[in-house]
Amino acid sequence: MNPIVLVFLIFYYVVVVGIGFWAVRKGGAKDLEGYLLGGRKVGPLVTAMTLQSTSMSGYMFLGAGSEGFRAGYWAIWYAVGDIGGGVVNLSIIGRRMRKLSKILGSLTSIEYLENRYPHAATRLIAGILTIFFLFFYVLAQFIAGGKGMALVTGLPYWVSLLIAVGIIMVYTYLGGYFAVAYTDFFQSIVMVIGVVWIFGASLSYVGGWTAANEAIAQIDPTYLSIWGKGLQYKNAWGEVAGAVLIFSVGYMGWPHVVTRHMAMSSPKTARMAGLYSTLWNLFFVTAPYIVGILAIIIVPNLGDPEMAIFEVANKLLPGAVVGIVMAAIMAAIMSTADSILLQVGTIASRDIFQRFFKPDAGDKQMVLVSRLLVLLIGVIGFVVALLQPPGVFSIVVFTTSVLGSAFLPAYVCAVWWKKANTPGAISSIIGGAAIAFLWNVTGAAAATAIHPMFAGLVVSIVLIFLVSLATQKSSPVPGHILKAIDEAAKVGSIPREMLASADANLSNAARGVADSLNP
Amino acid sequence: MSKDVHVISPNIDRNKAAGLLSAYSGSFLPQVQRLIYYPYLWIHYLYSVKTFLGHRSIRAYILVDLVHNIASTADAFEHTLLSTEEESLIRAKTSVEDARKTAETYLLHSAIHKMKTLLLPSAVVQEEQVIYKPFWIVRCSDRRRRTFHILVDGITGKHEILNLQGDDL
Repeated sequence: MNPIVLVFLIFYYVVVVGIGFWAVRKGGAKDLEGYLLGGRKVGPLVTAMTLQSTSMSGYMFLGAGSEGFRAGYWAIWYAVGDIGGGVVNLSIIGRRMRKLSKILGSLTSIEYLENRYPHAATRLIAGILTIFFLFFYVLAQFIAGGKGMALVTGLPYWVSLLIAVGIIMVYTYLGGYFAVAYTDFFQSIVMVIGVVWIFGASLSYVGGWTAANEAIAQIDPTYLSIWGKGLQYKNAWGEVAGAVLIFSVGYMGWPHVVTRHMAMSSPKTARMAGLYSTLWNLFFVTAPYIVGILAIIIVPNLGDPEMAIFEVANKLLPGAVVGIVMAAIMAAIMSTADSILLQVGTIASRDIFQRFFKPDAGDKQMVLVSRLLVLLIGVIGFVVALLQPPGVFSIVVFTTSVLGSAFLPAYVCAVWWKKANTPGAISSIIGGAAIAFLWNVTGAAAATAIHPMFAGLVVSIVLIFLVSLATQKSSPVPGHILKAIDEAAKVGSIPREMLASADANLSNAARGVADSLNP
Repeated sequence: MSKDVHVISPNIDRNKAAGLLSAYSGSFLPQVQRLIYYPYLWIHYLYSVKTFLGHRSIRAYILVDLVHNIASTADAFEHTLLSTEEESLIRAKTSVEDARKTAETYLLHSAIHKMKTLLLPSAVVQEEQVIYKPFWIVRCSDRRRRTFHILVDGITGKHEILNLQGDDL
């Protein structure tokens, strides 16, 4: 354990807590609106940076680096999808989904699915699938936190894991008072500086890009190929398609991302956020993969590929910088885990418990259900992460491919295809999730050279179209939903700029006024 | 027939509403047609959470749309008693009791996600009032006689597309 690293790690947390106290005293968090990350109190640039940095999970630091280290330039396929993911998502489901979700009065993404595809089964299936698969995503954060903590403190993995899971759980239960926009923004700045520093130090250490490529070629020239080490994926376009799709459109299956889309008030806000996000992703998303590739030369005898970025930082950066950057990484991991746990808790309490078991459940019971589920996830997650920790990269790819395959066609067709009905959506959700899941666990991906995301998505898309068309007569889309879709899609002769600035928060008032005044 | 109702004090007058829309590019002419009032249940809560640093209190303002029974968070604002023609009031379709339940559910959801905590806060109602929010209905027309309507928020000046079938109100 390097004492300088530890001192600066503690220093970082003291500063973050100090900013939190300052923000509270300043009045930035004395009312509920003050907690809005994307609210009026911070500008679009700060908002975008904060949103991007808090969505950067342990995957970026462990998963992305490990894939670069393991497979070389093949890993860039994943980065390519990720760079444009924000804009693609906002363009496909952006304005219409925001408006439709407001019109249908949906609080959660699962509730939105049930409102659009009205049947209890929609909510039950979507809720259970989401809770089950998001558990794995939280598990990835636990493992990342445990490994990072072990490196910084020098403690055994099991002790570090226990501390990391403990901190995440406490943060989830009590974290509200420090999770204000100011602390998240500070954290994002530190992460940017940290990544830039690691990236620059790595390139400098290897003598520039050309020298790095020559050195990598000496070890194994296939690392430089887009087909992966040993040309493992040569001409496997099904794998390539999946690798690009997973982080470009697969995000749309994540309920916390969809909820964020639902919360944006106007297309103009979304457009600006998309622009800033893409600029951020251009560098921030690519850098960890490249550092992982450079780690092939910098730390060639690395035992655990997931530690590539941590070990590179440890080897090349001054102790003080390592401490601060590690703290920022840990904070990012905690923040992501905390957001997912809160989402899972809400889905369990609102979308499952209250909807199916106790419709008159009070606040106390709802919070208790959320807390118990979060506790259960913490305990199970700790045990799994301790006894048989899977790779962070594998977990994130697994989770995203299943959730993306399950929900992407249902979300997209919800606003773009009026004939998409309940049987179509349910069969698409089940079919897409099942194929992606089986493709992941049975080794079908390796046997067929088709990525689980690609296989799951194709099946899911085919099912929503075929089943919806086959059941139009027996399960027509209800009139009020057709009307809401028309309302959400309305453009007409309205100038683009005015349309882009329209506030979806006023959709219900506009609908109420129209209903009242129309003959 | 006129009726006394509580309304949120407007910030945007008729000229400003038209001016806000004129600022957008496009060759259309905005023409303010009328002012209408939309019904909400407004509740001001004081949320209290016990943490290891002691009690913390947070204000929360919830507006429940009394036509659709859908809640949202809001800023603090002043309201005044106003006598207005009944025809300018949009009729409420949700009872205050149902709206209150919606507000409580929404408040818990917002508190958990915006404060990012799983603590159960105790909420005390500081003030509750059925209030009406002013909106301007603006008809826009271009050179090709194409028309559309816009609803302008009388408090914030923000707007939304209004799907009206006729031109005359």
